[in-house]
Amino acid sequence: MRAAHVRVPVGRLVALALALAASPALAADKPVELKVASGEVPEESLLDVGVEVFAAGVEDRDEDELADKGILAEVRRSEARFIPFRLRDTLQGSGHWGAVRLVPVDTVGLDVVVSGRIERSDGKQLRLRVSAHDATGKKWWERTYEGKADRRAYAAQNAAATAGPTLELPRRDPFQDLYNRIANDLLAARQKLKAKDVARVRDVARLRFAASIAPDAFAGYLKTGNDGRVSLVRLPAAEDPMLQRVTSIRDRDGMFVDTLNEFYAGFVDRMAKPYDDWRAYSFEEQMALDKIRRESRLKTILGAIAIIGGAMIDDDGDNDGDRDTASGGIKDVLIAGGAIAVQAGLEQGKEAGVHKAAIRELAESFEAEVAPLLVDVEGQTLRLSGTAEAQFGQWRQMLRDIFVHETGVPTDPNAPLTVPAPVPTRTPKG
Amino acid sequence: MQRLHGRQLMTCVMPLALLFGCASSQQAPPSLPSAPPPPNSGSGSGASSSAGSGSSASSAATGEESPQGQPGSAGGALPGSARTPQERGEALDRDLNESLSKFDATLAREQEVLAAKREAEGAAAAATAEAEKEAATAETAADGAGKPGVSRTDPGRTGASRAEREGAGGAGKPGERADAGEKGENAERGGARGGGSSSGTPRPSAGGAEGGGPSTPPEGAPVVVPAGVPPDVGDGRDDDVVARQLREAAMSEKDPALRDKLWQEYRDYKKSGGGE
Repeated sequence: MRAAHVRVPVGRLVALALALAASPALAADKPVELKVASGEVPEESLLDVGVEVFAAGVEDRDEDELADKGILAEVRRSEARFIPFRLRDTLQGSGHWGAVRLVPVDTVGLDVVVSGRIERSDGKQLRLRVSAHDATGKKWWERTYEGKADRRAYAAQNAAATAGPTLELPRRDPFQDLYNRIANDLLAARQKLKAKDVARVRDVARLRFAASIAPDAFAGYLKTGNDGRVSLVRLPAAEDPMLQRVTSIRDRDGMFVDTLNEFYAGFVDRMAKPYDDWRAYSFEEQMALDKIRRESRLKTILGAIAIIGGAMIDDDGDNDGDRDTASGGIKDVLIAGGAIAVQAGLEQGKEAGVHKAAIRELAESFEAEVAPLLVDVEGQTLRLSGTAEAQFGQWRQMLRDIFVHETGVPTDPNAPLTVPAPVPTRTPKG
Repeated sequence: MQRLHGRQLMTCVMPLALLFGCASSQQAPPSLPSAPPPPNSGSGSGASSSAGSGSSASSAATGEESPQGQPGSAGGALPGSARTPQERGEALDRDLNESLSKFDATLAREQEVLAAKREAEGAAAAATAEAEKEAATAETAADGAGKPGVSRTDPGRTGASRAEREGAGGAGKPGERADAGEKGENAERGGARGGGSSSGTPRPSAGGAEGGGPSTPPEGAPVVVPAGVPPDVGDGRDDDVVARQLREAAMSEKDPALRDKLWQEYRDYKKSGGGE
């Protein structure tokens, strides 16, 4: 006569269930401190940085599919300006760089270019694919950065909102640690360069701009290898009048980009408040959603284990009345309890829909707020870019006329006024 | 002088034409421009003064202003077509520099527009800040335990971040809107000025129809239609950038109290001479 027994390793199953149900808990990231220059960096060691407008990461993706995930195209396109602008501020604040600007994609003549793509952004997590290369086309790095929101930033935000306008707290982005990591990595790559490398990068950047604006005069100073890397052939004389003219134009190019940055700054200023609100609410909803999913999963799995365990309790049919009664009771309890647990888990899972709807609604609300701002800033930048493009075209023609006049070298009037800039392998868009 | 000179020439040419018996007085003038220009000199002194008209035509055709050879001036010898390489190079450089200057002016205008826009936004933010503060104060007074919830804006922070870029931002309307939105307390002051009818905002010297602020509804007045435009603010056709920003902000504001503040800001700005 054998007692009823359970043949499955219930302990292991429960452990497995707990592991499966464990949330991708929002453990706080280790704080990352921005490495700030201890003193003034000599001018000849400074490299200018252009942070390109990021790829939004929603190109060629179905809008409904995105919306189900709480992602809206206009929101992402706004973030594609907001996030690199924050990175720009961070880099500028470190004091290790020259001018740091948010620039349109494929801007020519920058010492260092940082480009990126938003892979995830929901207020709870931010994942970016970021790369950096210098003017010679050398890729410094390309990495995926993932960061969890700093709860304290949202807490401070909520405190300020509750206390009203009288409470002024220092503004900190919930993902500032992520920006700090990128800035520190960029600095680490910069510190690997020797002084002569820095000088070469600066010269190549300057001449790439010169070649883009006066190819007849400057294209010969650079050579592009098969790998896309650009190297110096020779340097023009410092007092070369054509170089001085190009330098004047480059100064205007810098002013033009600075004006664009003013547009972006205004956009970021106007977007910041609704964006922060959206992220804070979205964060709460995401946390609630995660909690529900976690609990639902746990109940369902434990219920299933109970049902399986109950079903496997062996009633050996040896007519041992008391024991058979006891095992039968346990079996019934386990199966019934398991079924109830599974049902409870499934019911709780349905609540997730409420939070998903809330997340989507929040995103739509924010989109409605930010879309006009986005249209505004895009209109401004397009208008000024069009003006600048026409102006630069005119300058190219003027420089060609001057070049012909000064050298007597005839140029092909049908030749392009610009030479294609060598572009290293770029971060995939979309 | 030109005509006189032609007549003198005619007197010289006519005997020669009669002598050879094949010329008419009509053929003489066209032969004048065919005189060879002085070599490499735009300031040749021996040239015919009739070249003045040719000079201006040449300048017009090239879009350049000839440095010498003004119409009717003496001593200008076909200067438009006879500049030295150095002069042509200088002209090209001058064109480039002028073009650079024009571009500088374009960017400067953009900066001005941006500054005006920021100013308007600062004023709007200040008005919002003040209204929110008042709302929060009223709510606290009414119910000590009540929480105002999440505020719609956080003007203190908004103002601070804007102030970082604007600096003092004191241009434009001194003491009126320039400092609004810089800091929380400044924002409050700006908002108070915007909302109060007896504020430090300069009063118009004439046209006192709005002097007593009749269009501003009193506290606790029934909520007006959200999208409504007060009848005394006109159609905004003559608004400048700042006024337009204020007007748009007011028209899009849902909160009646904030909307009234923004309209008052708009009126004050218009009365102070802005937007005209």
